[in-house]
Amino acid sequence: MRAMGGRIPDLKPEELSERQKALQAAMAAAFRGPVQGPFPLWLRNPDVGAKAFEMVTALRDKTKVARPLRELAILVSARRYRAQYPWAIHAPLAKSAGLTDAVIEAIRIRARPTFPSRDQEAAYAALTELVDTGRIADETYAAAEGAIGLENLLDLICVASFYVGLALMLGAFEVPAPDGAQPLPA
Amino acid sequence: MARIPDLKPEEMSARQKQLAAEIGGPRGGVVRGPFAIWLRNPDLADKANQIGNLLREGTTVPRRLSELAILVTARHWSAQYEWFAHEHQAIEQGVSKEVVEAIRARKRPSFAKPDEKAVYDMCHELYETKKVSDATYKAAIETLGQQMVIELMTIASFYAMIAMFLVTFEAPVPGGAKPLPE
Repeated sequence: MRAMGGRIPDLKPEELSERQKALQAAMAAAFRGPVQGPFPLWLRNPDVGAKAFEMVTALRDKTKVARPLRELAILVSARRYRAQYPWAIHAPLAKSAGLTDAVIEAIRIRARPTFPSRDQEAAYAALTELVDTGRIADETYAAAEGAIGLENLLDLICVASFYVGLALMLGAFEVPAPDGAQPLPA
Repeated sequence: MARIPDLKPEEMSARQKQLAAEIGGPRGGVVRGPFAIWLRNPDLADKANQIGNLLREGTTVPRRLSELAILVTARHWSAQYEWFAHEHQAIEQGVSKEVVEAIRARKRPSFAKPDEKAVYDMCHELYETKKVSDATYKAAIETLGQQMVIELMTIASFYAMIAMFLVTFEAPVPGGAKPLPE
């Protein structure tokens, strides 16, 4: 069986220090489920892992950017890096946050989505430019800032870039989605 | 020109002022680069600063190797400020000038030290292809050990986040320098 940590074997309960056990319990409680995805990797250095975990929750709880835009940033990052785990977790969250099925499906199959609102359209343009080209052109940046405002744009880019970093880590260790699902085609 | 102006002291909340002092303290009292922008969301700035501090002091990765990984990251995204902030640290920590120059010029460095080669190969391949081949991964594990490889990837992913943040907001290098050619 493939380890939940991909190339990194899962830690057995008897291998965990007290600190690692406490962190694992906090993660399991926060996500109401098994500790998967990047989280087993973060247990390996529990000091850093605890902070990374706090960053994930701060991006969710301490950002003002609207939830549909936040989920859009996560999906765009996950799609670009073909990160199966965050896609599997966040596609349903994106739907409950209010992104339409058609938008989510278009991103999944790398088609151009049609957005119901100007803020989603402008955020998507900025996000895709950033992950595809490593830059955001002046015009695209100005449109995004005009549509959602500076503070929200800052939060949005924090979310997107954190999830790109996460996707890189997951890619390096070939971390699978729960149950080995592959929601993202090549 | 930066796309986001620095906050003036009179625009900062008490929390932002306190964080600015905390973050700027070990950096000669100045808050620049990503943190000057991040201060606008102090909760995120605080977390990012704590992670950065731990990645510098609290892993098994020698600073020579973490600084090397940071340069590979800065070069990949052409993150001028990140390169500016870390080039001297990399050299101070023992990365050779030849290696630094090769990375700057987007050439493959020739490495005298196998651990540096393992770090470069893993980071470079990950950024270029979004994955790491079995051969490269195996070489990294054999050279660095599993714990260090996990921590190295945590460092790479954190600095990749910062690089993207910097290029989005076009955070300037002091004096307007551009140490990285496109």
